[in-house]
Parts: sequence; C-alpha cells; structure tokens
Amino acid sequence: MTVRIERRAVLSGAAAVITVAALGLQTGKPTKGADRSPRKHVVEIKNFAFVPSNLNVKIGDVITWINRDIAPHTATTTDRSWDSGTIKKDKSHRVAVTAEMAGSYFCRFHPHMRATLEVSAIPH
Amino acid sequence: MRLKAILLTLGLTALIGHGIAHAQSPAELNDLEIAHVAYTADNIDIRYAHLAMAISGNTEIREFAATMIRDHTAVNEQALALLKKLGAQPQDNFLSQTLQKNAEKLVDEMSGLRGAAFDKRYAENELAYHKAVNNLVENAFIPNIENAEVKALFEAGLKIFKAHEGHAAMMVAKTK
Ligand SMILES: [Cu+2]
Repeated sequence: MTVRIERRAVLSGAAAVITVAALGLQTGKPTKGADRSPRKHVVEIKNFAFVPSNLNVKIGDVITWINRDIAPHTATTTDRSWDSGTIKKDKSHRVAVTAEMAGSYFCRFHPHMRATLEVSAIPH
Repeated sequence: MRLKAILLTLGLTALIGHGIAHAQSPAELNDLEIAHVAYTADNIDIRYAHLAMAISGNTEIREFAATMIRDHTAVNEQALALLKKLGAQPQDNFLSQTLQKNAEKLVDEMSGLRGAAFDKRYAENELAYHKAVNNLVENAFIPNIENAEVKALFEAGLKIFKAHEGHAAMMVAKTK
C-alpha cells in the first residue's frame, strides 16, 4: 500500500522505525529483528528507460540507480521535490527511501523517461 | 529512395544532381570520414543549442538545449576516446563540409529571430535535423561501418539521437 506519512516521522529509515516502535505499533518483540532490515534495490537506466519502471519499496530501503547509457540522466520526482542529481555513464546514485520519493519520477534531462516508486510507510 | 529523401532534408540537393552512386556518396565514406561527419554533426547541434541558450527565455527550450549540449558532448567524448584508442584521426570530407555550410546559414537565419518565433524555429529545426541525421546514421553509416567498436558507438549514439528526435517533436508541439 502507498501511504503519505508526515515528514518528521520519516527523516530517515531509522527514525521511522523508532517512531513506529514508540507508538507501540510493533507486535510484541522489541524494535530490532531480521524482518526489519532494509532491502536493497537496483534500477538500471538503459536505452533511455528506467528498469524496472515500477518498484515497490519501503521507507529506509536503499535504491541504487545505475546509468548504463552514454547520456547523463537523473531520477527526479515529478514535482521535483527529490532529485538524484546528474548520473553520468557507468556511475550510480544510492539513496535511502524517504516518503517524499513516492509516486512518479522522471529524467529531468529527457522528460519522456518516466517510472514510479511505490513507497510503503510500514517498515519491514 | 530513402537516401534521396535524407539528402533533401539535409539540403544536400547538389549531391543528387551529381549522382549519389559516385565516390561522393555518404554510403561510400570510410570509417574515419564517417566519424568526422558524426563529430561535425554533434558540434553543429551543440552550436544551435548555444544559440538557443543565448536567445531563448523559454524554460523548456533552454532545458532542451542544455540536454543537447550535455548529450552531444558526452557522445563526442566517447568518440574521441575511441579514436584515440584506435590511434586514428577523423578525416574531413565533402559531407562534413556541406553540413557545416548549411549550419552556418541556419545560425545566421535563427540569430535574427526573437521570442516565440525563435523558439518555434529552433524546435522545428531540431526535429528536422535529428530526423535527417538519424536517417543518415541508420541507413547510410551503420550498415557500412567496418570497425565493430565504431559501429557499436554509432548504434549507441543513434539511440540517444532518436530520444532527442522524440523530445524535439514534443517541443515542436509545445511551440505551435
Ligand atoms: Cu535522461
């Protein structure tokens, strides 16, 4: 599910986890646990497309965008509130998922390149 | 015939009169001449883009122009690196010279335009120019390039320029 949550709760994945724990939303056990470790995801930018073009992630997960093209690209939310900056050929940009990254994103340099991130607020 | 249409678009009608099956045909250029044409074509588009950056106040046109500079520069860097690796120099030729002459005329013409008139002319020219160069690369160059690495670079370049062609079509629609 895709949920909008308040920004102060999601300053980082860790903060989100702590907040959720403090609210007593965790079942039983104290905060840590293997099921809560952030997942890693890779999005390749290849032939002017984001692959995969739709990705399900959770806050605190780590996404790496890798540019396989000669042309530099960006990953930028449609409202431009989040931006990877320029990713050159064979370079990558790695970032922990925040709530503001949810929704559709595009390449600022090549606006026809579009993809989406489904960000779930519930940590692992 | 496709090649004839390409030459017409690039304003190379003189070539048709002289018979394009002769030595002065794009399809008969060697790899180093083809590399020179591509490098020239890249630099021409960069020049058009600098003109747009100097004249246009339209954000989308400026962003498009910045992308043209960024991408064509990236392709040229790859091309120069490959030529260096191969120990080769690009060779000037009739087609590079004709492209250059046509570009000078177009720069003169566009330099006199301002505002929406410039944006419209620039977008239209970008669409026509990328279309023509893409046809040339796809139909006259790639089938005739002998070196596998040079061919691979042209194939990668073609993907970029086709993306630009699509982007330019969007810009044309917006400046109508
Ligand atoms: Cu891009």
